[in-house]
Amino acid sequence: MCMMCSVTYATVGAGLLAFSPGVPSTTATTSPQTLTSQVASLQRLPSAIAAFKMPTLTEPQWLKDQNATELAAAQAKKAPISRVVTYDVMTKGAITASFAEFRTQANATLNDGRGWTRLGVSFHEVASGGDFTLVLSEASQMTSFSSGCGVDYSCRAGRYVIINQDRWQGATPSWNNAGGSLSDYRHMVVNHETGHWLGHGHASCSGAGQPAQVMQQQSIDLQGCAFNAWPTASELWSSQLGITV
Amino acid sequence: MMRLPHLRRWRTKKANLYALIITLSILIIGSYALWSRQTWAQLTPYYTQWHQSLMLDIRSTVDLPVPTAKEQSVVSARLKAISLRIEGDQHAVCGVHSLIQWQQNIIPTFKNTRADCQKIVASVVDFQKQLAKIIAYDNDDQALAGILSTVPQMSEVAEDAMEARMTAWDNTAKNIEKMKVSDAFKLTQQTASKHSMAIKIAWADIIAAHQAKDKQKYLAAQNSLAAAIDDFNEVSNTSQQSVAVLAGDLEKAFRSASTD
Repeated sequence: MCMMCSVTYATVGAGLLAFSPGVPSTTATTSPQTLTSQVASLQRLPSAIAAFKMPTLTEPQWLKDQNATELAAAQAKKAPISRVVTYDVMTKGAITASFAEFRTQANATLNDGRGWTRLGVSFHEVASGGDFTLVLSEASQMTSFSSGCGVDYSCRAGRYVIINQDRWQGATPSWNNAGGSLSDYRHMVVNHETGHWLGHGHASCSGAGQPAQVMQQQSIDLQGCAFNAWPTASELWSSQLGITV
Repeated sequence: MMRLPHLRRWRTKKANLYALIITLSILIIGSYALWSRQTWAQLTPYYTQWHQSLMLDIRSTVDLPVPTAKEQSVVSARLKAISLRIEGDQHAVCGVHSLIQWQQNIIPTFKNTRADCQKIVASVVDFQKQLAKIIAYDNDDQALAGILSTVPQMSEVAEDAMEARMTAWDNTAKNIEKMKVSDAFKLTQQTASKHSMAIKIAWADIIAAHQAKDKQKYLAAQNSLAAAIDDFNEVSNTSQQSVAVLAGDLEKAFRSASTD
């Protein structure tokens, strides 16, 4: 066995000692800075977060109205009423309503702080020769002012702002059915027809539940809007008087 | 007289048998020595080549142009492949057959060869551990960016869409909280969760003020929302700081792995 051991060690040793492994050399020269920038560039979050921007919030109607009211109040404080609009009052046909009440209520409406006075004007009733004529008319006489006027509703024809007596006394079925009050209807109809004289056409409901513009035909249909007897902020202009928004 | 030829034959047979055993032993031992020699001889070039090839793989990934959003997944996939390669190879690179392992105990050259190999593998494994952290962070980063991308970005929000905005941010905050993330990502996750909730609360305040038609509260809540959206950038900053720490560790590990 000793001979076997000798042979084994001699053979293995001779074979193995002939081999001498070298130390490996490495040649990697990658810049660590590049590795860092490559890793940093993998991030998705910065670009995802950069997309977050404060959206513009559409101004709700109530805020528009509040702002308009505040603006009007501020303007009223800054610029006192500088212009006087005159009007005379007459009746047409058989009048059963109180004419005195009509004159008083119409004047109160025209000079209400919520109304057209926000244009910076005041309305003065004169005996004759006013800038326009406010008429309380029997329903059947409405068409005598213009073929465009009908017996069912109030109307404006030229310088005449004509309030239909039937409407003055009873508003309209659609208004009443929707629960509107007569006093609000009277405010609305005076403002609406005067609005035509000031230069306004008809408006439509701006959205369900929103206050109707006074120039909307609320006598006929509220179109989903809420009653509103007064001009909205966006209606505060008059081509007749040369007043822009 | 009769026993002599018999004895002579027996002695001849015995001599032949010895000769045969010795010859076979020499052949077996010689083959074993040759195999051992070749195995040990191949170890250094094998692990050197493995190391160089690995470094080349890393370099080719690193040398890619800084990726655009579309190319990010390519770089991510390559880094993951490198990590998997190291994981798969780490136990085999310095391995020698158990029949010849004992030789490193008696031959210092073999011992040194294996030690050199193991040192390199250890440094490469350290690098892989850092790379795995980056990969885990990258996965979390992608997941959070995915959650945030589900919040629709709108330049204008009407009053009837405010409720949906609040709900979207509420869901976002909840989804962020539910994320299972790596340790390195936890701070980014917490920051994102906090700021998502702040945006949700700002929307809730806007809705409450809108319903109450309270102008002062509405405008204040609107300012809070703008501030909350601005503050969301803190998530980016936190994430970038976390990545800088991880990248620093990766750099160190890479230097060590590439120069050992």
